[in-house]
Amino acid sequence: MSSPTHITRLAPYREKLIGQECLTCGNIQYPPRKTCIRCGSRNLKLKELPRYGKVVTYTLIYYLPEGYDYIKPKAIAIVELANGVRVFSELTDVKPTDIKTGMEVEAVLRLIKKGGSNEPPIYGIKFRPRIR
Amino acid sequence: MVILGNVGIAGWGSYIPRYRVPLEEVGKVVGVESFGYKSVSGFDEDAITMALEAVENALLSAGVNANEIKLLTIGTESSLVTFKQIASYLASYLGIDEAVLSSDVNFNTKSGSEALKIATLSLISNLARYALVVGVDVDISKPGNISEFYSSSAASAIVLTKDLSRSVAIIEGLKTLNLNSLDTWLSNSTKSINEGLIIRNVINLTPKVVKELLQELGVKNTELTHIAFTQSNWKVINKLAKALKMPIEKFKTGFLYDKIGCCGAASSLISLIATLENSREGDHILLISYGSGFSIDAFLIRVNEYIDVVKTRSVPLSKYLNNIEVINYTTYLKFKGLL
Amino acid sequence: MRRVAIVSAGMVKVGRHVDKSYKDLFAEAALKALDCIGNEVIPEALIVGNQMSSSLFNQDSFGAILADYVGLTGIPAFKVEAACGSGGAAVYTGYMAVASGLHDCVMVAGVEKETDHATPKVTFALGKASDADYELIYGTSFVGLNALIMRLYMETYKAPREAFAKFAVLMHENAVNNPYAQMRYRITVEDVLKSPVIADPIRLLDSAPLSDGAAAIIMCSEELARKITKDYSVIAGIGMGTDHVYIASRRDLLSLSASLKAAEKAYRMASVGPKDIDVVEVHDAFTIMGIMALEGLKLAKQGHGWKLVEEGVIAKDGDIPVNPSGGLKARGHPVGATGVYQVAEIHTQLTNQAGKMQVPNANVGLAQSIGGAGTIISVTILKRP
Repeated sequence: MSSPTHITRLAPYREKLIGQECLTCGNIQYPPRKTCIRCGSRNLKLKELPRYGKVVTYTLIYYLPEGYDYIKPKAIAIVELANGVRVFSELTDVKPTDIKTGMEVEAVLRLIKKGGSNEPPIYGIKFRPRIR
Repeated sequence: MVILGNVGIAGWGSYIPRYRVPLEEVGKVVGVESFGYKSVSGFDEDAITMALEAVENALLSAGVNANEIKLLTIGTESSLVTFKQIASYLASYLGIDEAVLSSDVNFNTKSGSEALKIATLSLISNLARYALVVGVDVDISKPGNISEFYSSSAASAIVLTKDLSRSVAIIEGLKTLNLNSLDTWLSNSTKSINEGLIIRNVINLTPKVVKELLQELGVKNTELTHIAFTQSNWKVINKLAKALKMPIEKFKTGFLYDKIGCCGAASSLISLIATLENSREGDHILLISYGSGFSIDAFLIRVNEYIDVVKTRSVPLSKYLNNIEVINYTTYLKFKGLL
Repeated sequence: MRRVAIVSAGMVKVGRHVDKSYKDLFAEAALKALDCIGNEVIPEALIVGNQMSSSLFNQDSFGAILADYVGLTGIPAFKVEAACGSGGAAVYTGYMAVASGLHDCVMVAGVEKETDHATPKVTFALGKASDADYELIYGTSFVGLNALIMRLYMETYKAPREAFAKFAVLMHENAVNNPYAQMRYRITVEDVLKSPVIADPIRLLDSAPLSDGAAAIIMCSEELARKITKDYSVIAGIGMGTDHVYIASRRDLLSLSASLKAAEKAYRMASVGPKDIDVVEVHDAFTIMGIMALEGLKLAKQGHGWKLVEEGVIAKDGDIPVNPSGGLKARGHPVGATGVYQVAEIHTQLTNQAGKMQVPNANVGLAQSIGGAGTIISVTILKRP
């Protein structure tokens, strides 16, 4: 289903939080685009984003799409990183009942999708309650 | 027998996943009485994700940038499962893909110290200034089988250096002993383990290798502060102490089996890290690492006055030992993808 | 641009149609719409809204396949996709075709068949409305995205959980009067709050069901419409807007900025304001979306939409009747078709053909179709001629 070529192409931006800084207006964005989403400038530089942040909002998903039915519920959240940039991610290493908006979290590399018989594994960033 | 003195440890890092399965529960399924816990990686972890965290911690504690690492050796049993070289992933991820001599060393509980040995010897031949050694394993046991007691998940990373001014502990010497032994074999992709034979090999061979190592380095038994060792099961600590005729207190700092189980190739190195984190200037640490087949590595390590610098910079093992969630056998099987 | 009118509409009852394929559903709606105008005029083009023909049925060339099924091979026929807002986007496209003068008469249809496959498969297909590489890849569901917004909305504006439940109750109340609705039965607030959690805090009865359905409208220039029938409505204003697909990139997660953009254009073009709207069909894929949809049309200030529910403002006999059809919740939501259903429903309101759903003296009506979690939004304003 997921092409290894496509996965490898995206890996640098998914396995680390690599976003962009606009050299024209200073806006920082994730994920990367060809132009700045605020001012439209093409003058962009890759930038690694902070690994620490807070949960802005979250949900616990009990009905998962095909191919993801491992562990339920799945905790998905929007995290606001230390520099104000928001990212969409999954929460891990935490009991669903312990999740609170505003909680401090840190980015870790994890398997977003395990490999299957015709599918390579996909690594990416998830967030867990801060311990480091 | 190799006498060194010019390769040192610049820093270390560990990672233990959060989940613990009570060995009592495992014992009920396997039919053996036991106590304590083993650490199990979550469903979204594998040897690569765990190794990366240990490596990040190690680089931080050593105060070294990834691009200063020119040599990378990984000891593991797990890359045979994922069929991917952990070293190549890490090298690529850390941005050191071109500058590095890298290898995965397989494939038993001694792989971690094998990686340590290879890196140490390579540094002597001026291949690099800094080397990164990783010992990592996920729980690869099959349920309902005695191998469940012999497999848990953890990652350890050591930064080695030729630069003695950056060392906080020096590797003074190392020795290896090999024996052809039928203590473990694979049948139907399940490990068959002859526990009694493993213990017997440990009891018989360790005193020999330790005696010779200490003699050649001119160090007495009594000068040893801590013993770090592979913990294939909970009996090892008593048997080793008795065989080496040393007080069991010296083994306790490095003994973690009751908390995390036998974490494969990471076992001896995690034990070493536990002793390093509790050591002081002048301490002698003896590292005993063994694996099925049967083979033993013994290292003598002397801690120097800079140890406290690294201690303050590292993410201590205790962080991971205290942040735990106990899960039941069913969840454990789910995490392994078996349910 | 010349004035565009809608001269007829055909709808299929929304529900689980085990015996009908998407082709059958389309044909039923299309032929109904054609029969209404007595085959006076053959549409010169077919524009179809649909999201999942490829994901679920391996069918691309979708417009052509459907045209073939009803004897329209030869004319321009293509699919318009804007996730669950495909219907509204199809209407927008049909409008462009006629207003520009390129065509005098087109058929705009929408069709979706969701109940043939197991839920996890449909969940994945619906999830393709989100960012595939950075959101869907985590195994989120579309419901999950809306749930993130619902939690934030409730915490930010201190909106009571019951207000959302009441919205769903109102939808079902309205659907009792709609012969085309999927769920023609009443529910209570307690039913909603006790229904299973799909993605916390969204529960089953906060969500539109999985549905099969099709709707078709015939659009002509007003000049041609006058020759065909006296029961036509005029598209007085239309607008469309988009927001970042990756919801975390949005300036304000709690504002449907795409709707505000679309509504502003439509209101201006139609020379009306929110107060002038007599009847509305909003896109309540989830109760949170329904409430935010009201705010996105400036029918309420941001964060205050839930009060319209509490105060009875949007009931059928309230100041602004919302979703007399039962909305996505109770009329049903065959995703790609919904936008066309909405316009068809407003058309029937303005031509006094809405039966028990009829809002008295409805002169100006509005339909809002949302793709994704507020990503691609179209607003269509109809008026009596």
